[in-house]
Amino acid sequence: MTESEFRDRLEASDRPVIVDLWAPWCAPCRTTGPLIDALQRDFAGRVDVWKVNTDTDPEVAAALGVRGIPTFIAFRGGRELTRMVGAQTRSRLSSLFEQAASGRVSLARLSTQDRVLRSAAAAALGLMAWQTGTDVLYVVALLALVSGVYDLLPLSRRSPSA
Amino acid sequence: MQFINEAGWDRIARVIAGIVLLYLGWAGVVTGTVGTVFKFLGFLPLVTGLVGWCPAYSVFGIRTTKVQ
Repeated sequence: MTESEFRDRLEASDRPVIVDLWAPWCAPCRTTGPLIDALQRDFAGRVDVWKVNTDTDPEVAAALGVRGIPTFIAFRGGRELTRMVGAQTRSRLSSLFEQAASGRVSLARLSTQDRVLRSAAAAALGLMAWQTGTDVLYVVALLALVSGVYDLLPLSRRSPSA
Repeated sequence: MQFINEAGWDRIARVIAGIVLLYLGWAGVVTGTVGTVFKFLGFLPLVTGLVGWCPAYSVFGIRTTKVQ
Protein backbone atom coordinates (compact mmCIF):
# COMPACT_ATOMS: atom_id res chain seq x y z
CA MET A 1 0.00 0.00 0.00
CA THR A 2 1.33 3.44 -0.86
CA GLU A 3 1.01 6.49 1.35
CA SER A 4 -1.62 8.06 -0.92
CA GLU A 5 -3.65 4.85 -1.00
CA PHE A 6 -3.52 4.75 2.78
CA ARG A 7 -4.61 8.40 3.08
CA ASP A 8 -7.44 7.90 0.58
CA ARG A 9 -8.68 4.86 2.45
CA LEU A 10 -8.44 6.74 5.74
CA GLU A 11 -10.44 9.70 4.49
CA ALA A 12 -13.07 7.41 2.98
CA SER A 13 -13.56 5.59 6.26
CA ASP A 14 -16.76 6.62 8.04
CA ARG A 15 -15.67 5.08 11.34
CA PRO A 16 -12.75 5.83 13.66
CA VAL A 17 -9.71 3.73 12.84
CA ILE A 18 -6.95 2.28 15.01
CA VAL A 19 -3.86 1.62 12.92
CA ASP A 20 -1.71 -1.12 14.43
CA LEU A 21 1.82 -0.94 13.03
CA TRP A 22 3.62 -4.20 13.58
CA ALA A 23 6.14 -6.65 12.13
CA PRO A 24 6.37 -10.44 12.33
CA TRP A 25 9.76 -10.35 14.10
CA CYS A 26 8.58 -7.94 16.82
CA ALA A 27 8.00 -9.80 20.12
CA PRO A 28 5.93 -7.03 21.81
CA CYS A 29 3.72 -6.96 18.69
CA ARG A 30 2.94 -10.64 19.18
CA THR A 31 2.06 -9.93 22.83
CA THR A 32 -0.33 -7.09 22.03
CA GLY A 33 -1.80 -8.69 18.89
CA PRO A 34 -4.38 -10.83 20.75
CA LEU A 35 -5.36 -7.81 22.90
CA ILE A 36 -6.04 -5.76 19.79
CA ASP A 37 -8.02 -8.64 18.27
CA ALA A 38 -10.17 -8.90 21.42
CA LEU A 39 -10.79 -5.15 21.54
CA GLN A 40 -11.61 -5.16 17.83
CA ARG A 41 -14.41 -7.60 18.62
CA ASP A 42 -15.56 -5.53 21.61
CA PHE A 43 -15.67 -2.34 19.54
CA ALA A 44 -17.03 -3.96 16.36
CA GLY A 45 -19.14 -1.47 14.41
CA ARG A 46 -17.73 1.48 16.37
CA VAL A 47 -13.98 1.37 15.66
CA ASP A 48 -12.13 -0.31 12.79
CA VAL A 49 -8.65 -1.80 13.16
CA TRP A 50 -6.14 -1.77 10.34
CA LYS A 51 -2.98 -3.76 10.75
CA VAL A 52 -0.02 -2.40 8.84
CA ASN A 53 3.05 -4.58 8.49
CA THR A 54 5.98 -2.17 8.54
CA ASP A 55 8.14 -4.64 6.60
CA THR A 56 5.78 -4.84 3.65
CA ASP A 57 4.43 -1.26 3.88
CA PRO A 58 7.42 0.83 4.96
CA GLU A 59 6.12 3.86 3.05
CA VAL A 60 3.02 4.05 5.23
CA ALA A 61 5.08 3.65 8.42
CA ALA A 62 7.45 6.41 7.30
CA ALA A 63 4.57 8.73 6.38
CA LEU A 64 3.09 8.25 9.83
CA GLY A 65 6.42 9.07 11.48
CA VAL A 66 6.69 5.67 13.13
CA ARG A 67 10.02 5.22 14.91
CA GLY A 68 9.30 2.09 16.90
CA ILE A 69 6.86 -0.78 16.88
CA PRO A 70 4.32 -1.64 17.94
CA THR A 71 2.72 1.76 17.41
CA PHE A 72 -1.03 2.25 17.69
CA ILE A 73 -2.52 5.36 16.12
CA ALA A 74 -6.14 6.41 16.54
CA PHE A 75 -7.64 8.28 13.58
CA ARG A 76 -10.99 9.98 13.45
CA GLY A 77 -12.30 11.79 10.40
CA GLY A 78 -8.97 11.14 8.68
CA ARG A 79 -7.04 13.00 11.35
CA GLU A 80 -4.74 11.55 13.98
CA LEU A 81 -6.26 11.75 17.43
CA THR A 82 -3.56 10.18 19.57
CA ARG A 83 -0.98 7.39 19.49
CA MET A 84 0.73 4.89 21.77
CA VAL A 85 4.19 3.43 21.22
CA GLY A 86 5.49 0.18 22.65
CA ALA A 87 3.84 -2.78 24.36
CA GLN A 88 0.63 -1.74 26.12
CA THR A 89 -1.64 -3.24 28.72
CA ARG A 90 -5.21 -4.15 27.85
CA SER A 91 -6.55 -1.22 29.89
CA ARG A 92 -4.39 1.28 28.02
CA LEU A 93 -5.39 -0.16 24.66
CA SER A 94 -9.01 -0.14 25.75
CA SER A 95 -8.59 3.53 26.62
CA LEU A 96 -7.22 4.14 23.11
CA PHE A 97 -10.29 2.49 21.57
CA GLU A 98 -12.59 4.52 23.81
CA GLN A 99 -10.84 7.72 22.82
CA ALA A 100 -11.18 6.82 19.14
CA ALA A 101 -14.85 5.97 19.57
CA SER A 102 -15.70 9.11 21.55
CA GLY A 103 -13.34 11.53 19.83
CA ARG A 104 -12.21 12.79 23.22
CA VAL A 105 -8.54 12.54 24.01
CA SER A 106 -7.58 12.00 27.62
CA LEU A 107 -4.24 11.96 29.34
CA ALA A 108 -2.70 8.53 29.73
CA ARG A 109 -4.52 6.62 32.42
CA LEU A 110 -2.53 5.98 35.54
CA SER A 111 -1.71 2.41 36.37
CA THR A 112 -3.20 0.98 39.56
CA GLN A 113 0.28 0.91 41.07
CA ASP A 114 0.76 4.64 40.42
CA ARG A 115 -2.65 5.51 41.76
CA VAL A 116 -2.23 3.47 44.96
CA LEU A 117 1.34 4.65 45.56
CA ARG A 118 0.53 8.34 45.07
CA SER A 119 -2.72 8.23 47.03
CA ALA A 120 -1.05 6.37 49.92
CA ALA A 121 1.80 8.87 49.93
CA ALA A 122 -0.73 11.72 49.93
CA ALA A 123 -2.53 10.19 52.91
CA ALA A 124 0.73 9.70 54.83
CA LEU A 125 1.89 13.23 54.05
CA GLY A 126 -1.50 14.67 54.99
CA LEU A 127 -1.40 12.87 58.30
CA MET A 128 2.13 14.06 58.89
CA ALA A 129 1.14 17.63 57.99
CA TRP A 130 -1.78 17.49 60.43
CA GLN A 131 0.40 16.10 63.22
CA THR A 132 3.21 18.59 62.74
CA GLY A 133 1.08 21.52 61.60
CA THR A 134 3.39 22.10 58.65
CA ASP A 135 1.85 23.98 55.73
CA VAL A 136 4.46 22.84 53.22
CA LEU A 137 3.53 19.21 53.88
CA TYR A 138 -0.16 20.00 53.26
CA VAL A 139 0.84 21.40 49.88
CA VAL A 140 2.98 18.35 49.07
CA ALA A 141 0.17 16.02 50.19
CA LEU A 142 -2.25 17.86 47.93
CA LEU A 143 0.15 17.63 44.99
CA ALA A 144 0.63 13.91 45.61
CA LEU A 145 -3.15 13.45 45.76
CA VAL A 146 -3.71 15.34 42.51
CA SER A 147 -0.94 13.34 40.80
CA GLY A 148 -2.78 10.18 41.83
CA VAL A 149 -6.17 11.12 40.41
CA TYR A 150 -5.49 13.69 37.67
CA ASP A 151 -6.58 11.33 34.91
CA LEU A 152 -10.03 11.07 36.49
CA LEU A 153 -10.61 14.83 36.48
CA PRO A 154 -12.76 16.37 33.72
CA LEU A 155 -9.95 18.82 32.90
CA SER A 156 -7.72 15.95 31.77
CA ARG A 157 -10.02 15.27 28.83
CA ARG A 158 -10.16 17.44 25.78
CA SER A 159 -11.86 17.35 22.44
CA PRO A 160 -9.57 17.35 19.41
CA SER A 161 -8.93 20.81 18.01
CA ALA A 162 -10.47 21.58 14.67
CA MET B 1 5.51 4.36 30.18
CA GLN B 2 8.74 4.72 28.36
CA PHE B 3 10.54 7.16 30.66
CA ILE B 4 10.07 5.15 33.86
CA ASN B 5 13.34 3.57 35.01
CA GLU B 6 12.38 2.37 38.50
CA ALA B 7 10.79 -0.97 39.34
CA GLY B 8 7.78 -1.17 41.65
CA TRP B 9 9.83 -2.24 44.68
CA ASP B 10 12.26 0.59 44.02
CA ARG B 11 9.48 3.17 43.91
CA ILE B 12 7.82 1.89 47.09
CA ALA B 13 11.18 1.90 48.92
CA ARG B 14 11.85 5.48 47.80
CA VAL B 15 8.43 6.73 48.86
CA ILE B 16 8.74 5.08 52.28
CA ALA B 17 12.28 6.42 52.70
CA GLY B 18 11.14 9.90 51.70
CA ILE B 19 8.20 9.91 54.09
CA VAL B 20 10.35 8.61 56.95
CA LEU B 21 13.00 11.28 56.34
CA LEU B 22 10.38 14.02 56.13
CA TYR B 23 8.72 12.79 59.31
CA LEU B 24 12.02 12.70 61.18
CA GLY B 25 12.81 16.22 60.01
CA TRP B 26 9.44 17.98 60.21
CA ALA B 27 8.15 16.23 63.37
CA GLY B 28 11.30 17.25 65.20
CA VAL B 29 12.38 13.69 65.94
CA VAL B 30 15.78 14.62 64.58
CA THR B 31 16.84 18.20 65.26
CA GLY B 32 19.77 20.40 64.41
CA THR B 33 21.57 20.37 61.10
CA VAL B 34 20.71 16.74 60.40
CA GLY B 35 17.03 17.44 61.02
CA THR B 36 17.13 20.40 58.63
CA VAL B 37 18.81 18.22 55.99
CA PHE B 38 16.13 15.55 56.47
CA LYS B 39 13.39 18.16 56.05
CA PHE B 40 14.48 18.78 52.48
CA LEU B 41 16.41 15.64 51.52
CA GLY B 42 13.25 13.59 52.06
CA PHE B 43 11.60 15.21 49.05
CA LEU B 44 14.20 13.69 46.72
CA PRO B 45 13.33 9.97 47.16
CA LEU B 46 9.65 10.88 47.60
CA VAL B 47 9.37 12.69 44.26
CA THR B 48 11.54 10.25 42.31
CA GLY B 49 9.52 7.38 43.77
CA LEU B 50 6.16 8.93 42.93
CA VAL B 51 7.24 9.82 39.40
CA GLY B 52 9.08 6.54 38.76
CA TRP B 53 12.03 8.23 37.14
CA CYS B 54 15.44 8.76 38.72
CA PRO B 55 17.75 11.31 37.06
CA ALA B 56 20.83 9.64 38.54
CA TYR B 57 19.78 6.33 36.96
CA SER B 58 19.45 8.10 33.63
CA VAL B 59 22.93 9.62 33.92
CA PHE B 60 24.54 6.27 34.72
CA GLY B 61 22.34 4.20 32.41
CA ILE B 62 20.80 2.18 35.25
CA ARG B 63 17.28 0.74 35.20
CA THR B 64 15.62 -1.38 37.84
CA THR B 65 12.55 -1.85 35.68
CA LYS B 66 12.25 -3.95 32.57
CA VAL B 67 12.54 -2.14 29.25
CA GLN B 68 9.14 -1.86 27.57
